[in-house]
Amino acid sequence: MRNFVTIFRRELNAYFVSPMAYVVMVFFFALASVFFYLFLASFLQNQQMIQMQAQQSGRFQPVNVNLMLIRGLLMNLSLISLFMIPMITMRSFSEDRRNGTMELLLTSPLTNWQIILGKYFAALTLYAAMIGTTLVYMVILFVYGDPELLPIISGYLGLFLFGAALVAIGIFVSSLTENQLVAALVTFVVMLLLWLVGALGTFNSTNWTQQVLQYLSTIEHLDDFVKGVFDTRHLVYYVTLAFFGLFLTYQSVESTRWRG
Amino acid sequence: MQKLWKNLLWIGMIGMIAGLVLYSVAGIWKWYATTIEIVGLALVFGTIFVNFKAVLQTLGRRSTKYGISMVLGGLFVLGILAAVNFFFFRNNYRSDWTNQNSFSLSDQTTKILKSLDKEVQVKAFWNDNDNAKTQIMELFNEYNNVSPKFQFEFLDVDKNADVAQQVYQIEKYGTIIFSTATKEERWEPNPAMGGSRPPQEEDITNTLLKAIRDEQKTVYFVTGHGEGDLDDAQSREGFGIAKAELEKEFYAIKTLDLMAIDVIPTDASAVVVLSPDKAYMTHENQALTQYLKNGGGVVVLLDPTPKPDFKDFLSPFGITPDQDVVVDPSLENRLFGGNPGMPLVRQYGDHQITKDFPYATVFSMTRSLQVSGSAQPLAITSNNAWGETDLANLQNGVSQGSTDIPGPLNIAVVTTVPSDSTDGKAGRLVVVGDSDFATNIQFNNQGNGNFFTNIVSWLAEDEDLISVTPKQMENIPLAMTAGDLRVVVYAIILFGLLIIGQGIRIYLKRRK
Repeated sequence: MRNFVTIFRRELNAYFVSPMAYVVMVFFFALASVFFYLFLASFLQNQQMIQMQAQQSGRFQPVNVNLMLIRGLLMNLSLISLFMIPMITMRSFSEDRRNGTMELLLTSPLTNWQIILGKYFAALTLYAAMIGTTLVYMVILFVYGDPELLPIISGYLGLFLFGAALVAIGIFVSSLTENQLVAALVTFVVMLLLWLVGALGTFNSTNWTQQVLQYLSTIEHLDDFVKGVFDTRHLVYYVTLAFFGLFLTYQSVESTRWRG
Repeated sequence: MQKLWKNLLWIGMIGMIAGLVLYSVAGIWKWYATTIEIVGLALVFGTIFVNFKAVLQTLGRRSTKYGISMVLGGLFVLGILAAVNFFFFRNNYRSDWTNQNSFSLSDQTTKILKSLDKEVQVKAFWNDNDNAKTQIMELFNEYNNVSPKFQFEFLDVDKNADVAQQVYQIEKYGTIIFSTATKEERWEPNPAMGGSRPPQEEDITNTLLKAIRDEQKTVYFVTGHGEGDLDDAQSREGFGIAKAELEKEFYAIKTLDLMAIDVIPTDASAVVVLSPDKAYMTHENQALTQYLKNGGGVVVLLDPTPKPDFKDFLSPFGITPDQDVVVDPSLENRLFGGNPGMPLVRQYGDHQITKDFPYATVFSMTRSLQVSGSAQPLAITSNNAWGETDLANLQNGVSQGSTDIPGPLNIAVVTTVPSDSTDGKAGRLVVVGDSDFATNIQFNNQGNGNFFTNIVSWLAEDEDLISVTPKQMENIPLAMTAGDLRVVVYAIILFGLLIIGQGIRIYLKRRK
């Protein structure tokens, strides 16, 4: 455990003591803010229009900030994460490989899992901090309205799990190369494929292959969370995907030991 | 030489993969795919055969052993993870965290789905660009989540025009077909709602119920006294459309000559009396009364005089037909397409037949009904309506006089009849002061058709067909002005600057 904490702190320092973490967070926050503003302005416009129509027709029409704003916003945050996660994970193993510190790590009394988990949780912490910056929007929405809290919690839980799975994949890709740019690009392509694979399966529950393709898609599992529906299927999917990413990383690190 | 073999091995492997890809694209082994596959296999095995010694040496190397065990280990873990996912896919726990359970099905639908014992294939014919499609897909997903026996697929009407038209005779976008091994039911957008309302949970569950119901209930229509014509689907005053709609709901429709029998057949789930020209004889009324007391269901559609009022038959049940014609000259009535002789009803009694009934109904030349005892109103006119009792001078224009019956008036009423039989099942009786609302010309006007079929469903004890409550989105607005929006923008910029500031602080600290 102590070894894990040492690696975790070393990696976290590498992120937060350098401008790296702040650049990632500001980038993400700027993009997310543009989306938030657009969603908010559109919601307010819709709300006004619906109220006017209701006055004219005498028929009450509800508006719902959770369904009409937060749901769409959280889905878009996952899209922005797709661009940011490679920036977070690209350095984790690639940098050690390039600087030659990988050999030091491997010959130290640390186990592979301690190294991998230390790096993984450090990257995941940065991802969580990045997503955490958007909580300021929720504070704003609570100041001006009374959104439902539980769907927001489930939405953020979904975003966290989504990130947890993709960060593991990013770490794996980074363990394969010493070139950070290559690591980032390959991670992005893999994540994009995992995102888009669902589009190959259309809205059918009758076709087995299409169902599997849809199941493999990372985004398909996020939708229920942001709606406010908790389903163990999605939890299991993200956790097993994260585990598989870490397992592949383990295999990759292990192979450097015997490949030399 | 070694390089040549290596290249041949690669070419062989690429050939094997290419052959398989071509096969998966075409669906069958075409000659070129077979050739490429065979050449690929020959190259791979040929190379291995010729270099067998070298292959054995490579296999014996430590790195190869590690490599193979790594791949096998990876596949093993992948298999376990796939099995875990499959297990939880089939055995999941799902919980809706929204206040109103906005993304959950009603208890009733869930109960029906959990007891589903046969596969139901649902084909929804939508235009791919229709926004409502996503909404329906989410709903179908919920059904599929509760029961994997509920299988669905979406077909674009335009892209699958041949299947849509030739196989399923689809005429409207948004048609949904529910089929089991033995039956097929369809849901179509309702013209009364402008045809644009996507199906709600109640529509889907109702159609599903019809599709899975095996027992066919029989509805009898009394004949022999000048009742409405059931086989006439063409003329304005026929009831052919009403009959066809009931058949679509999986009822068997039969006629019943009351004069020739003493008791109503035991297979009758409901008996319909369709505005006869002549009054029924005493023994015929007695047969109907006895049927009610045995737990049967009867609906009587009346019309103003000179049609018979069935007073003798109805008064023991607390229902008295008035000798009038309902007139509603109000502006609201005219705004919604009615005229003084065609009262429009938007107010319903608290009853299963009209529970959450979203439509208006239009009646034409109707008599009103008085209730007492356990009888209760079902369809009620506006306060502005009255019952015109001067029937002789109707043609000369009407105005509300002192002898007229003031509104609101009951156009349809319902009651239950205490049982005579040992099983204690109460009879069910509905009386409507008008029969025109169910004629061919009026059946699809507003919610008339739904009103008629709901009555028959209730009489035949198919309440579950009509009582799924539609969900309303909860109102959660934002109290934000244009000025507030500007404040929000500044607050966000300030927050972003704080992150940048922290980054710069760290950077400068490190440089020192």
